[in-house]
Amino acid sequence: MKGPKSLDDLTQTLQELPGVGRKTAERLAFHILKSPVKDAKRLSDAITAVKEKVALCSVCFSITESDPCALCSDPERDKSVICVVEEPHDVFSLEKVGEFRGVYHVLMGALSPLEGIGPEELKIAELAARVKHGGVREVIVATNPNMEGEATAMYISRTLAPLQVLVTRIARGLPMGGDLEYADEMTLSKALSGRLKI
Amino acid sequence: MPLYESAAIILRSMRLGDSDKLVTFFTYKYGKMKAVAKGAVKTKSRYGGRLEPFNLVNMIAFGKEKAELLSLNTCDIQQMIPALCANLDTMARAWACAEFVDHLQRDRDENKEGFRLLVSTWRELAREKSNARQDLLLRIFQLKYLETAGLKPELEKCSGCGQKGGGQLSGFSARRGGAVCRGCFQADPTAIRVSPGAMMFMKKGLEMPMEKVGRLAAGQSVVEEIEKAVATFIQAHVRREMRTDRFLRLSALPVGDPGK
Repeated sequence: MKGPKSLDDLTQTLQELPGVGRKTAERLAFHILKSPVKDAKRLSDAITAVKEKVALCSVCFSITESDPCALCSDPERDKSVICVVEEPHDVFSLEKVGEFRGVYHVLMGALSPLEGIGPEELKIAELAARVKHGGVREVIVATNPNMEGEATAMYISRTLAPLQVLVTRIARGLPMGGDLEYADEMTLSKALSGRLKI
Repeated sequence: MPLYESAAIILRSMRLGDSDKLVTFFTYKYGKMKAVAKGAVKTKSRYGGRLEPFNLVNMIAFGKEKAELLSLNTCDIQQMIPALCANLDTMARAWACAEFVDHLQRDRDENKEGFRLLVSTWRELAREKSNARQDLLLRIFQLKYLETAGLKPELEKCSGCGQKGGGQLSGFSARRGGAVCRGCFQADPTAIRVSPGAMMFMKKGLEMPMEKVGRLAAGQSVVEEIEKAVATFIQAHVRREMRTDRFLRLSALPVGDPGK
């Protein structure tokens, strides 16, 4: 049976969200329908606000409500160390650790030859411009440890080579709490080559 | 539900949804197959780095008889070729081989010769340090792979009039299907000039095993001629733009150029 048009529209819209199928979309739509008007309004206001207020920082391309973002304008952060990540949510993951005191640069993706994503689609030229501007002594490439992330790291290292800046790559290897027995050959090989003196 | 167990090459691996991966395998027994690896993106996934491209693996997947997507059950590395990822240039060529197979190979169409060819080409690419020789390996691989798909270009005689003779063949027409004589070359505006030397290297490359192609002493200009001829042939017969071509041009950029 076909439901009211507004309910169908809401289900359809929710279904467009990642990981939401028809059944889940229907459940969410009915939940919103049953909720008090103020709760539904709060949800719609939150969605509108995030679209209207959140933009990209003009320096690091992370998401922010003020430009430059809180991290870029923080005088306590070490501006001479830039950590390069693929997506804005990677900044939040690294910030949760609370150990890194430098600043970030978000590439907005990674090089992907098979998807046709080249450096023009990424913020690599902007990174080179930041380094050229001066005052940067280290660029830490924290792209994902997969083939695309590795290619991006190599490309960045090649691009920044003439700028006399130290380009480093985050360590790759075994996750804490894991077990050697279950580690794959590739991870073990990276863990061995990236070993540290204790 | 049938179980599919085979040695396989990972052609590509992409994120699917929140934490899954969609992996394209080129299996020895069944040809190309796609499978979903649940939770593969998670740090503590049992797959770890096993699903990265260029790995030679043993895989077990299951799914319905004619299902387009299978579910991956097990994937163990049989062999890694780490030298393929040692630098951007080699990686670009290895990716170009993977994309070529992905485009040419239909799902579940067994091609054991193509499988062996890809593995040997990657091994040779990993061994070869010179960019020109790697380019030659890539183009000869493409010619050989086209042959396994029944698309071998004619290099023995003129593909226009059928006239035989090595030295007489002075052009290459993708439209006609291969080498052309002087007369047919002049009559075909799409034909490109290819020197007898480049023609000979293509012929030899097709005849010899991949392990020996790297030993062919072809100069940069000959490699460029071969590259052009193969590219026009692919464009005319495969009718798909190779996305990795852009990446190959990128890897050739001088150090320090951000590519904009």
